[in-house]
Amino acid sequence: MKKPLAFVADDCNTMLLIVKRALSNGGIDIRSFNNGKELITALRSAKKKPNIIILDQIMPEMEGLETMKVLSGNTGTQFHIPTILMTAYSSIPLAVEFMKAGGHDFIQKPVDPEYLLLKVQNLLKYAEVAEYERQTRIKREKEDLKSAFFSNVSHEIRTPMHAITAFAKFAEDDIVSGNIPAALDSVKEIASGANKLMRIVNDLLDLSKIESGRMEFVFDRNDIHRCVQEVIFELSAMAEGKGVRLVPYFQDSESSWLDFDYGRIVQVVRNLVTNAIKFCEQNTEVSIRVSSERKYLSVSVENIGVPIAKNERRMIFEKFFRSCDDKKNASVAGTGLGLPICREIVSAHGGSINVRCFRGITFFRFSIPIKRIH
Amino acid sequence: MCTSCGRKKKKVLVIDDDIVNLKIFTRTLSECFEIETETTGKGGLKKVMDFSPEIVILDVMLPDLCGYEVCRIIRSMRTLNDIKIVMVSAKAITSERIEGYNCGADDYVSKPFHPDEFLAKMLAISHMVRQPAEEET
Repeated sequence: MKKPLAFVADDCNTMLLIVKRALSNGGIDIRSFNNGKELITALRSAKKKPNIIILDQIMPEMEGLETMKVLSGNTGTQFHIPTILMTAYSSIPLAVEFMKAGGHDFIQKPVDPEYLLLKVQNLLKYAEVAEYERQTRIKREKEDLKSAFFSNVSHEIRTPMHAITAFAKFAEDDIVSGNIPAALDSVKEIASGANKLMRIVNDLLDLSKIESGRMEFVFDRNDIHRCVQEVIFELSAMAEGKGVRLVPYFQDSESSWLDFDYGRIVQVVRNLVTNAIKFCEQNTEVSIRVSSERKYLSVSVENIGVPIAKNERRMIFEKFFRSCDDKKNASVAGTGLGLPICREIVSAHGGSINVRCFRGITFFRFSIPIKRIH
Repeated sequence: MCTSCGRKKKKVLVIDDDIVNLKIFTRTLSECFEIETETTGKGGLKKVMDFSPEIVILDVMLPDLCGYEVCRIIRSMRTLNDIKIVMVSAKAITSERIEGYNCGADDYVSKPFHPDEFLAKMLAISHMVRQPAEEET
C-alpha cells in the first residue's frame, strides 16, 4: 500500500518538526507549509493529493478556520480530505466553528505525539471507508446506466424484429392468395426492418470494439466534400419525408483533401445528419458546413429545433447515456450509441467533437487536424 | 359486417406514431374491425371522443404524451368507462407491463407478436365489450 501523505500548515518550525516526527512513526509522509494560503496554493497544483490535512489556528496570512472555509468553498459541507485543527487555546467554540466549516476534528496544544498519530490514523481509516463507499456508489450508478441501456437496446431490436415477423407472415398469406404486388410490398417492409436491425447490430459491434480498444482505422488521402455529398445523397429520401432540405456549405475546395478514414468519417457525418433530421422541425433546413481554420478542418451540422439541456450537452457523448428529456426523446428511436461512437472516431483522428445551442439552432461540430497524422 | 363471422364490425382506434406499426395493425385487424388510426396522444384523445371506439390500441412511446398518460386520461373520463384499452409496446420488462395495468389498461401486449394471435386476442376482447342491444334485454 502507498504511504499516506499529510499536508501540515504551521508557522512554528518546532511544531512542524514535532508533527513530522509523530507521523513518520506511523509511516506517514508530510509536506509542510508556513500558513494556510501556501497550503491551498500547493493543494491546487499538487500531483499527489494529501490523504489528510493538519492546520494550526494562529498563522500569518491565513488562519486555520479561514483556510477551512476556503477549502470547503464556504459550503459548510465536510471537505473530502479529512482536516484537523490544532489550537493552543483550548477553545471549544472555535473547534465547533471549524467543524461546522467542513473540518473533521481538532486537537489541543500542547500536542501529544502519540495521541496525534492515533487521531490521524483513525481519520485515515474513516477516509478509506468513505472512499470505498463513494466508489461503490459510482459503480452502482454505472451499472444502472448500463441496464437501462440494455433495456433500451432490447426495445430497439424488438421494433424492427416485429415488423420483420409480421410482414413475413403477411407475405406468406399474399403469396398463397396470389396477390403478388402486396407480397412485394411486404417483402420491402421486411428488407427495411432488416436494415434497421443491421444498423443496431453494427452500432453494438462498434461499441464492443471501442470497449476492447480494437477499433481499426485506415487513413488515406480523401476529400471531405465527397464525404458530405455522399451522406446528403444517402439521406435525402429520409429528409424529404419530413420536408427537410439538406444544404451543404463548402468554404473552398483546396483544403478539403486530407488524411482520414473515409468510411468512418462518413459514419460520423451520417450520424450527425441523421440526428439533425430526427430532431429538427418540419420543413426546415439542415446545413452541413465545411470550413478550415488554421490547422483544423471542421464540419458543422446545424438544425433548428428544441435545444439540448445544458447539463446534458457533455453527457450525450458518453456511452450508455440517454437523455432524460422524455418530451424530446419519446418519439425518437435510437440506441444512444451514435454520438459516443462519433466521438471515438473523431478522437482517433486527433480531433474533437462538441455541441452548442443558441437562438434555437443546434450545432454539432467536429474538427480534425489537416496535417498528416502519421 | 365482418366477412368471417357475420357480426357488425366493432370500432378500433389505434394510437401509434410508427407508420410501419400502423400498417401491421390495419392489415391484421381490418377484416374483422373498423379501424381508425392516430399518430399522437392528443390527436388520439380527440379521436376517442369523435369516433367512440369500443377498443383502443395504445402504443407506449408517443411523440407528445406518453401512452400511460393517455390511458390514465381515458380512464378518468366516466363516459368512456366501457372502452377496452390494449397497450402495445416493445417495452417488455415486467415493471413496465405493471405500469400499464396500473394506468387502467385491460391488456398489455409486447412486440413482436404474431398477427394471428393478436387478432384472436382482439376478437376475444371484443366479445367482452358490452353491446347496447344486450343491455336492453
